[in-house]
Amino acid sequence: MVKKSREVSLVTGACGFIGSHVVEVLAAAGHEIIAADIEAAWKTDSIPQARYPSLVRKLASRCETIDLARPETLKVLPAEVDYVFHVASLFSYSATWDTLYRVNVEGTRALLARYAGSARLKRWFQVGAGGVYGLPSERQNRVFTEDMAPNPTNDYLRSKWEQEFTVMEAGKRGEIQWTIVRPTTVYGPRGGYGARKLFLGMNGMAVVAGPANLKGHIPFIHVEDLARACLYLAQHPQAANQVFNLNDDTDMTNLEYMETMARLLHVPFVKLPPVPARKLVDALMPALRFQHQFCRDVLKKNSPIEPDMIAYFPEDFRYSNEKLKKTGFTFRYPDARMAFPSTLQWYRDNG
Amino acid sequence: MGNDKTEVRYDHKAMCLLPDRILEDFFRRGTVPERSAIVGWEFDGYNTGTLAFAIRKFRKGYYEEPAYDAGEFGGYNVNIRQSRLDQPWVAMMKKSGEPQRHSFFRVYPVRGSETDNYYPNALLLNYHSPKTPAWNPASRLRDYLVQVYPDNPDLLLGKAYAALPGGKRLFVSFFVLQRACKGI
Repeated sequence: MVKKSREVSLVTGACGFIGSHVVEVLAAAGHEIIAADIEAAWKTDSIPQARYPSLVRKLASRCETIDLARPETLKVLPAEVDYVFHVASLFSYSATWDTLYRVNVEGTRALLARYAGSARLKRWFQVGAGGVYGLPSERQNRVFTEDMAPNPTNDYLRSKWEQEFTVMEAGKRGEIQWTIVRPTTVYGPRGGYGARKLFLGMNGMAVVAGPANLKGHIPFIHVEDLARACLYLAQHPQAANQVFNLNDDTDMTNLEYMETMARLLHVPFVKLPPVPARKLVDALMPALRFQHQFCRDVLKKNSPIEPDMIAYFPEDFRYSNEKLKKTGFTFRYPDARMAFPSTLQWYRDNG
Repeated sequence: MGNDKTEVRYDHKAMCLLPDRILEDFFRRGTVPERSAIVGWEFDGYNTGTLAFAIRKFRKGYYEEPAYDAGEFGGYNVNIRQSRLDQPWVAMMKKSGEPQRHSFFRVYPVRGSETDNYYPNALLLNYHSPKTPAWNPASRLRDYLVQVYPDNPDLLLGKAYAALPGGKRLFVSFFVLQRACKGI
C-alpha cells in the first residue's frame, strides 16, 4: 500500500484566537502544519492578548517567527506548501493607517510573492472581515450579500478590503487560486479583544438595561465553525476564487443580546424607554473621536472607548449565508445561543 | 442570517436564552406531551420572563391523582435554590428532609369549552385545584405546556398566564422544562 503524503498547510497568525482554532482543525484532519506568527506571540500564553503558543507548538510540525511588516522575515517559510491559511492581520480600530497598510496589505503582498506561481499551492485562503461592506444604514439596510461592493468605513476595514483586493489581483494574474471569507462577529473559547468585550463587558453589572428600540441585529460565527469552514472551503472546488460571508443563522437583536447576557449572568434585565440611538451616537462621535486620537497620539495607548465600535450599536447588521450553505457546509453551532453558555464558562474558568 | 435557516436543535440551556418571539414560534408548533411520558417524573424548569426574575429556577413534578376528574392528573412545584443557568438545580428541603413541594395543579389537555383554550396543542396546568387554596396567589396561574420536538419527550416548553377578574389573562413568562429525575 502506498502511503499518501500529508498535505502541508501554512497558517499565519497561528497563535491567535482564530489561528489557533484553524491549527486545531487542520491537525485533526491530518495536515502537516507550518505555524507562523510574530516573535511576541511565541513567548507565553496570554488570554487577554489571545495568544496560545503552547497549544500550537504541540500540533504544528514547524513553528516559525515572521513579521508581515518586515518581508525579509518571510524567508524562513518553506517555498512549497499545499495551502496557505492567511489569518494574520493587525486587528485594531486604534492603529494608524500607515501601520495597518504595512501589515495587512504590504505584508500580504510580500507573502503572496513568496508563493505566487507555486505549482504545489492548491489554495490561498484569506480570512477577511465581514465589516468591509460598511454600515447598513448607509446601504439602505440591505442584507449584505457577497456580490455587494465593499464600502469600508474605517482604516482597519479599509486595510482588510485592500488586503482582499491584493489577493484577488494575484488570482487575476493567474498566480494563485484563492478563497476569501468575511467572518462577522467571531466568538468562542480563547477570544480576545472584541470577542472578549462581548462576553465580559457586562460581567459584574448588578442590572443589565437597554433601550427598547435597540433592535438592530448582531451577526455571529463560532470560531470552531469559522475554522471548519476554512478547511472545508479551501478544499472545495466550487469555492475557488470566491468570496463567502461567514455567519451563522442566529437571529438576535442588540436588545436580545443584552437580555441573553443578563440571563447568563443571573442579573435582572430592564427594558428602558426608546432612545434616539442614531442621533445620540452621531452627537457623541466628535467627542469620542477626539478622545480616541488623544489617547493614541498623545498618551500613546489604546482608548478605552473605540468610536468605530460605538458606531455599530444603532445599526442593523444582516448578512446572507446562502452562498456558504450552497456549498454544503453545515454549522456545528447554527445559533450562537447554543454556545454562549460554554463560551462564558471558558472565560470564567480562564479568568 | 440566511433566508433558508438550518433546523436548529436547541438544548435546554440554549432554549432558556431564546427571546419570547422565537419561543412563541416553537410553542405554536409544539405538540401535546404524552401523559405516560411525564407522569412520575420531575423536570428542571427555567422562567425566561423579565417579570419572573426572582424565581428563575424551579422544578415541576407530575403524578397520578385519583381525586381529580377522569382524564386529569396532578402536578406540583419544588423550590430550587436560585443560581446561574449553568449551575445545577438544587432542591430546597424541609426540616423533614423532603423537598419543598408546593403550588399543586391539575393537568389535562386544553379544552375548547374553557376560558383557557389559547393553545389547543397543549396541556393545561390549572392551579385552580383542590390542593392549592384560593388565597395562594399561585392559584391564579394557568400554564400551557407543549413538547418542543416530536422525537424528544425530555424537553418541554411552557407558557404561564395569570387569571385576572373578568376572565382576562395576563402573560407572565415562558418556561423551559428538562427531564431531571423520578418524582412521587
